[in-house]
Amino acid sequence: MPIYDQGYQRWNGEMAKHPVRWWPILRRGVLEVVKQRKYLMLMLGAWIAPLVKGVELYFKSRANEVGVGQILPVNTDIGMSFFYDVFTSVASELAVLLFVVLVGSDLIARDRRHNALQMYFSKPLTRNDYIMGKLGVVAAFIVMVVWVPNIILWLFAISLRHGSSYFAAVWAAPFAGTAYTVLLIAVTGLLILALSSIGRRANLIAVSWLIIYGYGPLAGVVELLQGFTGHERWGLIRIKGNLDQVGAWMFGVRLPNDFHPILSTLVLAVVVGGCYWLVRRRIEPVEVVL
Amino acid sequence: MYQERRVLVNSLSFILETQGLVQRYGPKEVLHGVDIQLSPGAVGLLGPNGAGKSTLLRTVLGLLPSAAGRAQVLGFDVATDALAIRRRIGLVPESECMVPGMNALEMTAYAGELVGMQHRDAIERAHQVLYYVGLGESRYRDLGGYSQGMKQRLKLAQALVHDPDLLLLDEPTAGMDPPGREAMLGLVRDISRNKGVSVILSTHLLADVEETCDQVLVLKDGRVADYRPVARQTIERRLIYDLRGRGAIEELAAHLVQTGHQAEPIQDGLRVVLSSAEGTEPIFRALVALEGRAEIREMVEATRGIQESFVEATS
Repeated sequence: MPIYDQGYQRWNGEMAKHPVRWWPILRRGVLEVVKQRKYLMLMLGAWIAPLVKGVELYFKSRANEVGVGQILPVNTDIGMSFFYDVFTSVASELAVLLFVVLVGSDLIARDRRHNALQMYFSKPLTRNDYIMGKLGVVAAFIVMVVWVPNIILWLFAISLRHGSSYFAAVWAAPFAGTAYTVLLIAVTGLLILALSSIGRRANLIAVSWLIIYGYGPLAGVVELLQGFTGHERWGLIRIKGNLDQVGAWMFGVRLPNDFHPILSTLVLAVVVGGCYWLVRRRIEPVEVVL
Repeated sequence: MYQERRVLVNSLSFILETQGLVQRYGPKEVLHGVDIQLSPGAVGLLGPNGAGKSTLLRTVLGLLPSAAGRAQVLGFDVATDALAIRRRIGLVPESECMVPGMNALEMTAYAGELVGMQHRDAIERAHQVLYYVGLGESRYRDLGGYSQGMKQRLKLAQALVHDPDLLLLDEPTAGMDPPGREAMLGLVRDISRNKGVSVILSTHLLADVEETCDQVLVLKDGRVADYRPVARQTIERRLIYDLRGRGAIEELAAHLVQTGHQAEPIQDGLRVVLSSAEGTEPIFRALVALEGRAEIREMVEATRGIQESFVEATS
């Protein structure tokens, strides 16, 4: 039987040649989530809506061929507005909301509770690496529940409708969808990370996110103010409303609000910048008590 | 470039060199122009609470930007090459730090990956270092059930996983029971003496430094109070004796002082510091000179260890 030396041995292996420093944080965070069955179920659930849309798309495109032309009129408008609708559908929104809140609320708070930040920053990592890694965890799930199914849906639509005229009409959809997803990740992800870096209790962080993002009382307040004053611009204080506005602008479809999308873009830029600034300030590798 | 040549610590003159290093927390200056040059090996960093030990470690890791002065670690400038330094350093922090939701193996491997190790290498190496620190059998256990000693060992494992050239230990034996402390110090001794890894051990436990280090740096109020090899203490040890007896002990003390030695009363006796290396001869000569008026019942070689140096330097 061989006898192994269990004393300390120097390590002569090679480090990764071009490491993306935040990759282990992202990888670890995602693995930790997907090993819990509830999140897998949630993800499958999030794919049901695009699947249903796919079936609808199929029947609308091939209504006559499959013999349901009498029941389902052939819908000729599977254009940009269709893809805008699927990217911003209630089902997508719900999936984003659940993943951001459930996965993101404890991402930094838990590290702070367990003093893990000093372990991270004793390694060759910058604050940006840490933020990118944590944001990447949120991003991975948003991509999985929003971008991937809807891009597959777009490919499906292209495959169903041969012809250059249809492609010419919707070629921009994946680009607009990608840009919208990036914006969605930046806004929702950085907001939850900012709150997670301030708070310590995940449930409070989740509730705060929902309120600030635009659900709950804020939505009512905005509607009330709009009703009283007659100005739609009050909608600018609701992050969700601004996202829909900029999303519609990106897809080139009818805007849901009256104000200019550049104003919404500015508001979102302030939110993203503010959240990033806050997270950077809060993830001190060394907490100094004066 | 990430893939850099391993620093051959033994070829460096100093593992840590600072010039006029100043560190502030807000308006409060914590390090006042610290100038040090630490040679490779095991260095004990001693000082009372608030002396600036932890601040010095954080500064040389690049976690706190210095207010003035410069510091070089393993030949790299802290201000410009902090990441390169951290790639070659392992830190065992003072406070408890765990990455939640992992067992010891996952956390140690994760620490390796954060430094840039490939996933498979990090896992393999994590097994090795966990066995080395004595957590081999419990490496799959939930960290929530770990004792204080096991947590300390785990912190050491995550600091060693990438095989650093310099290990910084901040109070590594804090909260450990005597056997655990002995085991931890044994590991530190082995790493520094047999494996070519330099160690900086920050502690307020003087015995820890005596048992593991070959140099000691004493900080007081953010300044260097003393820096010397620990080996020197053993030379001094031969010259100090604690005497207990009866009769004219005060006269004996006065006689020794007159002949150029030091003598001061201690509990039940006298502590004598001889200024020459004649062994105990001056004491016996003094006894003869007193013609039996003083009688020595007990003479013990006193341990003038780091404790006395520490008290002397910081008083």
